[in-house]
Amino acid sequence: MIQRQEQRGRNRTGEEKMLVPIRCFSCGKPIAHLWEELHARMAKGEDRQKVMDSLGLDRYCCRAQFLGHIDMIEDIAKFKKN
Amino acid sequence: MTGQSKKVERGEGEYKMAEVKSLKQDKLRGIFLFENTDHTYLNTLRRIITNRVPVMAIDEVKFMENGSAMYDEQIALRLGLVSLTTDLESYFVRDKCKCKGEGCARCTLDLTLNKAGPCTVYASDLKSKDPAVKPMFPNTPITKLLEGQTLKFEAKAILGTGKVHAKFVPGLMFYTSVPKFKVKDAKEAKKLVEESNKVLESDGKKLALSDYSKTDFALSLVEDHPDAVEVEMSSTDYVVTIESWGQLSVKELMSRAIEVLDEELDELEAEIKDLK
Ligand SMILES: [Zn+2]
Ligand SMILES: [Zn+2]
Repeated sequence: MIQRQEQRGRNRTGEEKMLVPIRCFSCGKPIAHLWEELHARMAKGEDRQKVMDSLGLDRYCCRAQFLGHIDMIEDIAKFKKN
Repeated sequence: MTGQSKKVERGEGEYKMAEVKSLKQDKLRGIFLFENTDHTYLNTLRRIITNRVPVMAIDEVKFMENGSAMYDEQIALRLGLVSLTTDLESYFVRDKCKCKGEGCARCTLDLTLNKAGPCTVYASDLKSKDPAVKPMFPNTPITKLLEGQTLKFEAKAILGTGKVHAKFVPGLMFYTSVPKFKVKDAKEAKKLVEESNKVLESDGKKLALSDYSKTDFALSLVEDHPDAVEVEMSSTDYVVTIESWGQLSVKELMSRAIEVLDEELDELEAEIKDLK
């Protein structure tokens, strides 16, 4: 699934994948500062659902932002024309 | 924080003072129980919170250098959405400022950023001229820079309202009316309470919610037992959640919203008096 999304260059919501959105598209809650903590804790073996609960992502709109997103900026940046 | 306009006298006519109880307070979220009010008032408050309470946000960005993979516009949008802690006492909305919209120290704040890769540019890298106005969430990533890429810009933050742009929205409010239960069948009701995992409480005669945040769960449970209880949604009592996006505290947000409502009512009153 991830492989296919990367080939398309877009995430499930059709946005160009760059960096995690600053705010949730639906409710407006600032969420970008939680992205790195979520992945750091998931890398330590914590369950995604439990980390999201403890980060205060109560609504499914905010959770969906993270579930449908892959950071692609570092790959895209290599092809930047200066 | 009561629900009346300042000019209404207490005890006049059918008027009843609204009562507000705090149920739970987090850093950026407050849950309240409003009694003796109605949804019209609450919805007015909700719309004022999202549309009319001014907060700071970056509005203009002048790029000197942008070597990152993101376009200038993309970075400017991300900067705008970063929530800045707002001090409403020391700044004015531009249109109401003495400078008449030209921009001065009383209505505009300058921020700068200068970074060279390889690194992630965070909101905390923004250098603000006023220590009271800074990013609420310093770990917010703005963009990433590779080796040899640089980002340098000057930005201007102003006060604005959610009516103008979503970046000026200070928070979110939502509410649900409190359900009142009437027991129809004691046996069935007992079963219901047992199944509810302590969300519903009973003292033999009456049934009540123990946790207002689980209203939806309780109602869906009651739907599965149609013979047990009768539910009536209150038209005067509401559980209200107010979430702040970080620019203002929940208390400030609420009192500002009530101030704005008062101002608008005064304005309306003056307009009506002029009518012939
Ligand atoms: Zn959301
Ligand atoms: Zn000014």
